[in-house]
Amino acid sequence: MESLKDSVINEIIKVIGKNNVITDFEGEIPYENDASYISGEKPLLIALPENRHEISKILKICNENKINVTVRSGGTSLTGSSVMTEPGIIINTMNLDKIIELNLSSRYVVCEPGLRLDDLNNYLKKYNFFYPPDPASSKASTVGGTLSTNAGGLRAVKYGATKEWVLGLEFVLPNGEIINTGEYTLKRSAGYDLTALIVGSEGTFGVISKAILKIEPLPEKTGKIIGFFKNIYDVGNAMSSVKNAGITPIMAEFLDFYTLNSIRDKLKLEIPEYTKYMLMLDIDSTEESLEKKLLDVKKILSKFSGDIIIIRDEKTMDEIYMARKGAYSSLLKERENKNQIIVIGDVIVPADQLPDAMKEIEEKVGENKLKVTLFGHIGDGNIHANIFADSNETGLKKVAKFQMDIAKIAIKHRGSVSAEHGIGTEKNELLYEEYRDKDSLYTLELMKEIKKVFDPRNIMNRGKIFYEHN
Amino acid sequence: MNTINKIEEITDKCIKCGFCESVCPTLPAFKYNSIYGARGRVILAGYAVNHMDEPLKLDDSFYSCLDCFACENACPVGINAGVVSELLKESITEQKFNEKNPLAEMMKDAILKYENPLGLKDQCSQWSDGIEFDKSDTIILTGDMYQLMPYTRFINKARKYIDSAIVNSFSKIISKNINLITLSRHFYDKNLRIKMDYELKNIVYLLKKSGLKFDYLGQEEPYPGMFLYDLGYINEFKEYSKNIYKFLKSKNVKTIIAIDPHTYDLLKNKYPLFIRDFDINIVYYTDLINLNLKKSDEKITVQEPCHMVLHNNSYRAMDILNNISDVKLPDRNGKTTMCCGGPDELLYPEISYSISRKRYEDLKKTADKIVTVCPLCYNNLSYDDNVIDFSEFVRNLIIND
Repeated sequence: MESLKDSVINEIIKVIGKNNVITDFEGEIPYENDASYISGEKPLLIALPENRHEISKILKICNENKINVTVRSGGTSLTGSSVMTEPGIIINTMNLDKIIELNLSSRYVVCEPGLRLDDLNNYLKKYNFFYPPDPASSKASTVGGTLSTNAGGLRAVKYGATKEWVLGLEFVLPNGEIINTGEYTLKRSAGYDLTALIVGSEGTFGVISKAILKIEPLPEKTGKIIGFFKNIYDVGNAMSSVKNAGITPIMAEFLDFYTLNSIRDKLKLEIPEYTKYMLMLDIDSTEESLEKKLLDVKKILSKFSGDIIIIRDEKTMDEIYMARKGAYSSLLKERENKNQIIVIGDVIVPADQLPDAMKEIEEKVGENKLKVTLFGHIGDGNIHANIFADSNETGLKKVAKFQMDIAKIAIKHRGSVSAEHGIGTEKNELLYEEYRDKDSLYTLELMKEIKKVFDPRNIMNRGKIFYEHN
Repeated sequence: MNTINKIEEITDKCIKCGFCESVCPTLPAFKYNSIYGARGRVILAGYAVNHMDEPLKLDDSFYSCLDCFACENACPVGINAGVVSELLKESITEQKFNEKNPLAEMMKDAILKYENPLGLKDQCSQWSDGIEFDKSDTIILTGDMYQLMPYTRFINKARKYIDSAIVNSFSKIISKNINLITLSRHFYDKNLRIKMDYELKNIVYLLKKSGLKFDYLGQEEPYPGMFLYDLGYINEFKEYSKNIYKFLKSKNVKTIIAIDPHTYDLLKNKYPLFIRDFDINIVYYTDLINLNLKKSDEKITVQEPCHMVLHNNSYRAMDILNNISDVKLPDRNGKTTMCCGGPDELLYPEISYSISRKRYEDLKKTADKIVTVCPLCYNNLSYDDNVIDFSEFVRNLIIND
């Protein structure tokens, strides 16, 4: 007699053809991992659909048979969102990678979920436009994946996270229904905002099959200002002073000495010996007024740092930008052995709370006797603590404890346990803590109820987001 | 360090970020089946060396790698997934994993017997009939690349209609009776052969016109063993390359002018790995061109060859073209250039077609005229008559020719 597993596999093959599924042992191996340190279960099958109708049929089959489904595209999750907590089907949406429509006057682009962000921006650049969400993984991460995690990135200080840039979605529900949320318009006041609900839901509601995204004209001219600092308070105060002067940079990043050292060769900058932190700001303006704006910012920063550099050359700016984007990866090169992992934390606090939060995080680093480096998006208060640890049980326990410690610091300072990476399986206990501390656990219960409305048979990405508190 | 340790050393560094697969041409061609992309190959290789006792089927994943090395430039930790594929292929030929690839075996057998992957040694020197060369210790070495293209194009046309299982069975039969491979001399694309012969003559013309004195070994010209290396027969290549080197030394060769990027890369970078005190100077023909050229009024685009730009950081052909024409490059250019799909032509023709078609369309969006600097690129991208080999394009612009 045919097992449930076999019958589901055969049904899916019937729907999308044997060339669009992976069932061989070797082919399934890469899908046990994403870009996080978390390994998942081996999938029963990986489906590679080419359109929304195929997605719909696959979901119907899985829904009828109560088979766990995880959606995946670029596989760049840092929290284990795109690996399976229990055996099931992976739907890989990479074959849906087209740009369907571009409308410059109405400021939107319509595209499919498997389109990589850099490919989208390379396309838009030809029209002098861009799509602002800019996670460090933009080379590999996709429209679908970044919508699902509400990704942020380097430009969030000015442009916000992904949720600010999506107008509408085509979405396939677990029962196979294909729905549309939102519209092509910049404003819309028409019932519940289901688009906003789906963004950041990490594939727990269904599958995004198309997205209407907002776009912006590229800044006319940009310049970069870099300052070197002896302590985090000066960095924080410098940043606050810039903002208080009414200037919002398009990028505001800080790096600690260890991170800086890991990308020193790519930065090609003279770094003063006293440096403990580096701040880099990108300022945009019109061609005529950029110089004045850069000098204004330099004057403000000079109150806190003796060494300020202005960079105007686009090639050098690009190199520094790419070096910063590659900071996490560069740190990974510094692993002492193959069993060492680097877990990237992702807490956020209101920008003015950052120096105090950073100071407390530094104290926790000492208490926990861990090697931790810090960098992040200072403009929006997002701190990435990169924790070096052994991948064994003891090492992972240490990481979990430290993650909880810094989560509590973020919560104390009115922030959140996850700024832009999502929850996955890595941060579900931290999310629980965030709402427990606020005495608002009912919020989580409400989220679970919403999940039930979308996915009553609980087939979508089981084990993600919610902490099963015993 | 043995092959397995080398693989392990590289795959241990992988952080699984997926940046490499965003530039890997084979991944979309295989509909995003991960093990046919750079990240999946590295992960699979890591798994394989840690599970040597499991009967894994690995050949298609690693043989389909184009060795273009686009992944190396995308990787934040400096891994070259192309090298991982090379090492895996080597392990497969050493029978550390599953059975060998029959088509690869057949070509290996042909090279070892006939010094040519299709047993076409005699045919490969015919283009030079009637050309006079100088007595010189500098020679041009064709690597048989231009010459083989008409045959591979014909074989591929036929292969589209034949199931891969039949191809494998057929390859096994030929391997057992390797003299049968010489029958391939009857099966070639006649127009392409005329074209390739013409390009070879153009190259010779450009070099002579640049004032260079050089010889050609004609029927004695050795095949340098590119397919042995590319298909992972490293042990065989070690011996083979030593013999070729010995032969070249016996001919008192001091400088080799390579005329295709693959042969140049092999002689320049791989031979010295296996031959102690290798002392033949290897140059690429475009580096030697010194001509008075007029400006073209055409807008052109260029397929930059992976083996020059990505493997050797060499842009000489581009410098020449930039000086004589209005060059517009596609989005993927320079260190992000995209392979034409050529290296997959024999083993995975459908994949090669998918990649070359995509690249051709990207190039066409940039300019109508496409200049290629490699015979594989020409063969794979010449979907219309406006694709032209570098040598022909430049020859047409020689002043007072």
